[in-house]
Amino acid sequence: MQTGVIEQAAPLLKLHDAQELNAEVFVPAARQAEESDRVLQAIKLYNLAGEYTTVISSLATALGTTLAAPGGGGERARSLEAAANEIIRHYERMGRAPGRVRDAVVKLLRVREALDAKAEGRVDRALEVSFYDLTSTQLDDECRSWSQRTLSHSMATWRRSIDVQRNSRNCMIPCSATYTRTSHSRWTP
Amino acid sequence: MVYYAHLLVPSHRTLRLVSNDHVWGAVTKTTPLVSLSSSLPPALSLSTLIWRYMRQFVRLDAKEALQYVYTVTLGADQPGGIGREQLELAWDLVRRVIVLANAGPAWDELVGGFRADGMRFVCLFSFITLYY
Repeated sequence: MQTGVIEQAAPLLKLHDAQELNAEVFVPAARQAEESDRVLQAIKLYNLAGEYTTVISSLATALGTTLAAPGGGGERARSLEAAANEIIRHYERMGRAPGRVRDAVVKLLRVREALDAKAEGRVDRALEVSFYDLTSTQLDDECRSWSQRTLSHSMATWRRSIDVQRNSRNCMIPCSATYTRTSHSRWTP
Repeated sequence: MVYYAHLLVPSHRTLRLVSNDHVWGAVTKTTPLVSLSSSLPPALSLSTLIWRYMRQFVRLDAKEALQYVYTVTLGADQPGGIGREQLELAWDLVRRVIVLANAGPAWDELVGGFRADGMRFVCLFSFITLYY
């Protein structure tokens, strides 16, 4: 990506420095975008304007909404989470907007990762994410209840999948009793 | 803009007093295209004209729409605070373009972005400076 068209044309708009551009264009536009329910655009604009604390708090709110949405929130939620991952990676590297809200955003992204892994049937990965990323650190009440709910659900799914695997293994055990269950005549003794 | 030298833009503050209308929202939406008043010289609201024209394609081609917004700032040298009003109207139009434009790579190109390492690109040389 490169410098935006608006920034390049700032002299034509009589905006002489980045501070003026942010105050007159990017921050009010971000506010308008937020009011128009264009959250991702608002977050990008706040990010460009250097309002890092607002970026993080908007991300936390938006991710909380997409996690609670039925069906994971769809394509819009996916693009928001991709942007959130990228922004968080940059902020952690640059040491921007540190604090509890940024940690909450990281944990919300981990919850999403665990839910996605569970939906794909990778329950071992879901458990791993839940255990190491969500329960190893001190969480506030809301996050803890979230992680516990996710965890108990994941554990139940995991147990069910083990049972299913155990039952299906019966057909694979090389003994004559199970061979008779198959429909292939050549396997029948 | 051949007749730019003859173009008078209205002072919205004075118009507001004349029309005695205290409930004004976004100026470009409510300002009449041509202001004809007995106490003021006739004036053409350039920002209203530009907005009415470009709102048809602002979603699809925001970059093109911005080209029209730049013409509003041509009134920035008008005396008595009218110039400042024209600038504020132009910034308002830029904000509308940003909010209304369709999301996607074109939108990112419009507002700019970050490099992979999280640092912003710095525009060291811009062709716009050649205009001055």
